[in-house]
Amino acid sequence: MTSLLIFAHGVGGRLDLPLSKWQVAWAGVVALVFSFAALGYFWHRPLLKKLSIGHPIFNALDRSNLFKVVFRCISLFLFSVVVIAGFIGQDNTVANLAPVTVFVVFWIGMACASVLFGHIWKEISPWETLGKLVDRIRKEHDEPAPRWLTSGWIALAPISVFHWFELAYHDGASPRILGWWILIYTLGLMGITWKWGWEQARKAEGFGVLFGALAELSPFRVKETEAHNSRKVFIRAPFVGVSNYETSPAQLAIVLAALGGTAFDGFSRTRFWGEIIFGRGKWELTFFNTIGLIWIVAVVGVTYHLAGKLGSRTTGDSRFSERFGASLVPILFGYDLAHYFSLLLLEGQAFKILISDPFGKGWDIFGTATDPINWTLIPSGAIGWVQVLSIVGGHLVGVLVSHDRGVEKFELQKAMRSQYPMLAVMVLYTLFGLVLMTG
Amino acid sequence: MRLGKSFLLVLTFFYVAACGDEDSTVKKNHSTTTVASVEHEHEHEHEHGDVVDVIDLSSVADPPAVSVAATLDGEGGAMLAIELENFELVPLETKSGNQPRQGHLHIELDGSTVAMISENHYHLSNLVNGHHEISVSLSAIDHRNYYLDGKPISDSVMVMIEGGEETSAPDISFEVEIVGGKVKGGLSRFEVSKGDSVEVIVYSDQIDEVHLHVYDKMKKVEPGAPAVIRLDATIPGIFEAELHSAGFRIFELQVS
Repeated sequence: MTSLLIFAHGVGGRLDLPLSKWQVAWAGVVALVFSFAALGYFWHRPLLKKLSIGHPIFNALDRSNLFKVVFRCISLFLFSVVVIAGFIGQDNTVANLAPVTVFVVFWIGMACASVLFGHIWKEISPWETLGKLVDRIRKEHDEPAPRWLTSGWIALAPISVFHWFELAYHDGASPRILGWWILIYTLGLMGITWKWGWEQARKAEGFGVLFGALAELSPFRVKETEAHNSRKVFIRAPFVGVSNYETSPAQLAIVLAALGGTAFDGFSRTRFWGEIIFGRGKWELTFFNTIGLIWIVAVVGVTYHLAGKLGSRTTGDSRFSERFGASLVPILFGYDLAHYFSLLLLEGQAFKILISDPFGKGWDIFGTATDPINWTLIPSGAIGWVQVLSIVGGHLVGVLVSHDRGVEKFELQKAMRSQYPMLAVMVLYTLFGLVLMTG
Repeated sequence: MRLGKSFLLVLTFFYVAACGDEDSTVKKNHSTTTVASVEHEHEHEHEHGDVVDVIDLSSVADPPAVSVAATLDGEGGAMLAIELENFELVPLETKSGNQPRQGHLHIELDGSTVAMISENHYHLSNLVNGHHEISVSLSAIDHRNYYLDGKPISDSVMVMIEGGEETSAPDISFEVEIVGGKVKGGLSRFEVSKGDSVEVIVYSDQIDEVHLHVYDKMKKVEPGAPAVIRLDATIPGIFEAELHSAGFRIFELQVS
């Protein structure tokens, strides 16, 4: 089949069923009650930072560097395979390795892996490997990096462009376009590295910034020890680590952009949006989706910004927004899981199939090229529950983190007052997230 | 009055005469059982079994007879073996010369004509599972059925098909019409229950291809030839169907 299949949302032609009204209603009630209980009846002293230290489980020895090298090689190899597949494989979204790898394995899979295992993207990212290679061959010079790079705002660009291709552009999941996309992004990063070194260029790698934020939720913590090349691995309660996460304004913007993008993905699947874009093709569709994407991201961003302003006024803390940015990370993960959990488990199977024949040449390297996708791997009821629990769970952890931050920074009275705007924002996001799920 | 009465009388006479005349022709047909050549302009109508008039062979000595036996091939097909008495099969292309012992066979499946043959065996394939009645009847060259004592000269056999296609009629059926690049009535989300057999018929005034995601049904659609998508709703979720070259969504299927 040589025909080009067009997908509305990155990859995937299967959408989850709308949640039942009572499921959503209960979830909303639980979220609200919990939120208001959080206002006063929780602990009055910061707790999460202590919990986030965790218990040491083992020392990672030098040998682990060998693992790292192996993983980096695999990752770089897969990266090249995907780029080549994008250019020479079948020009068909579902029959090409590139779309499923980028949208499912990388974007969703890596986010989940970061939450589970911590800062692994930093270890295995092909850009990290390439950047360090460029670092070795480039001539050192002491020219200071410009402000747009050091402030980290440039990292918002790849995230925004990625969202635009995934959610707005009508042909964004086409393998050729993805191939070019990855190539241009990589060349851009390497150009920056050539000029100012990878340490600076890493600040422009938006995906790394985002996965780094999510990795703070991980139950594993790695601590570099004084001893040469030795690290200590700690285990702790999941999610508590995020209490250590301090967001710069740029990082906050990236988290909000990702949250807005995911929200638009959900929004674009509602019947309301379906009727708006109905019958529109190609560039007309792109135009409407672009407006919608910008609009939803703006709503998410402005809501938070206003809450931040309000918080600044009530507490007299001018950096209020950034202080509480960490509480958005669990909410982002909740949204991600709710929207993409089924995509990862169902469409994700296509990776296993396509990796056997990455360039569409009729190969069958792993003997999986002809496997079918098991579309009934998870019952639809289970998907619904995962969606509700992840949105409400994300909300609850967000409230906890926010409360903990509040009592850490301010004395009790002020801390309570600081919580009103934050709670309002989180309740709003959660209810909005739940409403989107009713489809 | 007298004039009126006589006029009526004349009318009645003509009417009776006319009727009588028609009666006599029919009788003549019956007695001689030869029919003048029939124009085949409306052959297609004949093929669909619209033939109303019949040829009764009650007055013929040694009238033809037919019997049919079916052997199942286990793959949704049936092999028909037909035995004929006093009947000669002539090619379907024959245009003229109805003879009482000549013609071809009409094969009916569950009451509707599915084939016309001039051989004494036939393979019926792609039957759906379940009970079916297959009947074979004798037909004249002009596709009129031969009758005997007011009943068609035919034989039928009941078969139980296994290993063929699963269901016949869908549990639920939907229609979508695309006119001038727009879907009539806006975007529909067709809601079905898991396990339903579903049929969606897509009409379009332009040549295109309908693609239903995940179920991966790809059907051509042309003006006058709708795309008929049949599926068993086994995968829960919402699935988009789009018009391929036009590149827009035409309906959604919700399986829950």
